[in-house]
Amino acid sequence: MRLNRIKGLLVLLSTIAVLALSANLALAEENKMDFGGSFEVRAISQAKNSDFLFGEPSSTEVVPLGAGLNFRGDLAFTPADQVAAKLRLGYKTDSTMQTDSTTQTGSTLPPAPNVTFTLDRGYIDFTPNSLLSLRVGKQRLAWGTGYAWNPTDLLDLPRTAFTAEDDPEGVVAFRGDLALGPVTGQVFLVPSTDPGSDWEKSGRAVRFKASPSAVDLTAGWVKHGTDPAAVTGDFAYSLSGVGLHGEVLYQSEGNPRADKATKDVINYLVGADYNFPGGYYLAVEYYHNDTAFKDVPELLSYLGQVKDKYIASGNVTGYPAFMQEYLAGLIGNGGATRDHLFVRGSKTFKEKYTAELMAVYNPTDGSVEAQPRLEYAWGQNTTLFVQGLLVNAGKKEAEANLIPLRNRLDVGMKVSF
Amino acid sequence: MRSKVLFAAAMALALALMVAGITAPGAVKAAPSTGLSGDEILVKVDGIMEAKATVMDAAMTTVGSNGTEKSSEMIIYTKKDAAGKARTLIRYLSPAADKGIGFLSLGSVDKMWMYLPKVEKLVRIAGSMVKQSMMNSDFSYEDLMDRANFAEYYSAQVVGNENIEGQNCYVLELKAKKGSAHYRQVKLWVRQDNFIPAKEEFYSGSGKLVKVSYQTDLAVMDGRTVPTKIVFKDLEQKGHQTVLTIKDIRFSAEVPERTFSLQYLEKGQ
Repeated sequence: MRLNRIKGLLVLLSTIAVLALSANLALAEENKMDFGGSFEVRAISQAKNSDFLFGEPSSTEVVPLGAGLNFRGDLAFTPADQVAAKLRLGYKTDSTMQTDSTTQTGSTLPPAPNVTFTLDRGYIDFTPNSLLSLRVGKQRLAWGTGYAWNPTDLLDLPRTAFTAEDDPEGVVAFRGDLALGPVTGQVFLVPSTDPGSDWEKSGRAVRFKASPSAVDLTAGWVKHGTDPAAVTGDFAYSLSGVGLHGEVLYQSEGNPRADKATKDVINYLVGADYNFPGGYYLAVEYYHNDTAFKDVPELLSYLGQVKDKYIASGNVTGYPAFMQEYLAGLIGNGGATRDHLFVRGSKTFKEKYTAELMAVYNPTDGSVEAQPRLEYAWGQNTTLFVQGLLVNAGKKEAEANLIPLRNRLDVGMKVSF
Repeated sequence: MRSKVLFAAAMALALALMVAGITAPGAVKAAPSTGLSGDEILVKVDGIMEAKATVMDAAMTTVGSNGTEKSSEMIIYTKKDAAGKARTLIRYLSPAADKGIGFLSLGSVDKMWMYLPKVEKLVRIAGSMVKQSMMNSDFSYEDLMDRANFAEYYSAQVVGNENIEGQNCYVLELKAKKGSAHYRQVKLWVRQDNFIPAKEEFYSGSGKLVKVSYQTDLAVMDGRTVPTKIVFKDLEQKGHQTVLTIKDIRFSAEVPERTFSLQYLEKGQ
């Protein structure tokens, strides 16, 4: 445990050193290099942080407190008008305290903080002329118009419903953009990083974008690894002040669900948002995931598979986030239930406070996951926040006698620089 | 995510207000015109907004009713398209939390997009934003659209002459001649020596005064006279105001056509 902490600290310090050096370079190379980022610390109170995969400890064994740290540094370098490079480093740790369950509950989960050090971005842009643009390296491809989930975004790494702005890690890819009059054509290649993998396991896609009149439209073809190819489309439109958006993906013969009449996949979302007088904002999105399970028994079977997977790999990274999402239905790719309703509302008041509520509702089993958040803008670059996470697992918990809910409260501060 | 859109919209208005204050070279020395009709003066006011392309460094400070301030810095590119519609691209330079946010307007309310660098995503701005106060600032999108061309939306009559802070001004009353004009009436004080507006009052359909702006601190930048300070007040937010400061304008800068594309908004190239 101590070794892990020392390792994590060294990684953090080295990150800061690299970025500080970059900042100095930026000052020396005026207008050629840019540096920025954010630093976030948080205290966490969580109902229980037990390792339920391996057996739930009694409540007296768990200290319901913890801490999180999230550092991100961006370095942008523009050596010439036609060339730009970007580097984004991330350091994250998010851990609640817990006893060494290896001796008390038989758990094999390490009690050390879950530390991740990532190169979130690392790419080079080359724009030889006004028509052509190329980007090579680790990047976010960001397909689609939805907030909580993008059914068309098969090539990026998946993210959870409430983390759209939480800077997800990119994928190593090649992207080319070609302006063809009112239409922009794009090609994507995401090579597989598995050792010894061949071309068939890579991701490939073509997409066309256009903005005729008051609507944004895209149409695409995407092949993700050995899965069947899919065609995609999305739109964004404003009708009488209401913003409308949607996405759809169609994939022939790609559905593993036994209850489906055909093996075709149709995943989609439809959404709307509106700004009400007084500074109120409301967005609603409805999702259908055709590859997900139709009922609770299938869900439980799925949980068993996931449990086996975690045990086999010994990898606990991302595990708590997965379980939170699971309890509410696991929205998105690899999701557990078919239909979800997502709601997001916000209101800024007294010029310094912003209240926000995001929630996912699963009508199949009545589960709900909600994240209320209150922010206070302290000066220009500092935000103080209180954020909750409330989970009601609906029928899943009642029928499966699953784990206690993972209600959580975070209090923290984020500084941008 | 969408709350950031409000920030960008505020920047867009900053642009419009700045452009409104730009006057042609030498205009500051022009003799006061006499015998001009209201519409003729309005055409001259619009005329001094004329600029094929500009690059501006600007700052905006929103002062809240409780005295709190929030400041932003940005670079603003403008250029007219072949049809004469003003296009705008704004890129935030500060504060750090907003750095890199981009805003693109292609000259109409249904052609506005936002780039959010944190998630590296383009977002179309919904029409309901148009009528909103922008990030607690004192103006809305429609302020921006109306400001782009007075003569297109209003007819004007000269109703007098007044002195505003030592400057002789024509007083114009503008009445909307298009249903798409945001304000039914506008009262405009135009400096007689250079046709730069000194003060504006905006009225609702019921005749209620809702907003006021002042353009002051004239200075010569890149050979033209501009107001370097614009104060905008939404009277329904008591004690609230937004101050726009022009730090630099370059009229001779080349602004490539691709600057006003979604690709440039997203990639910055």
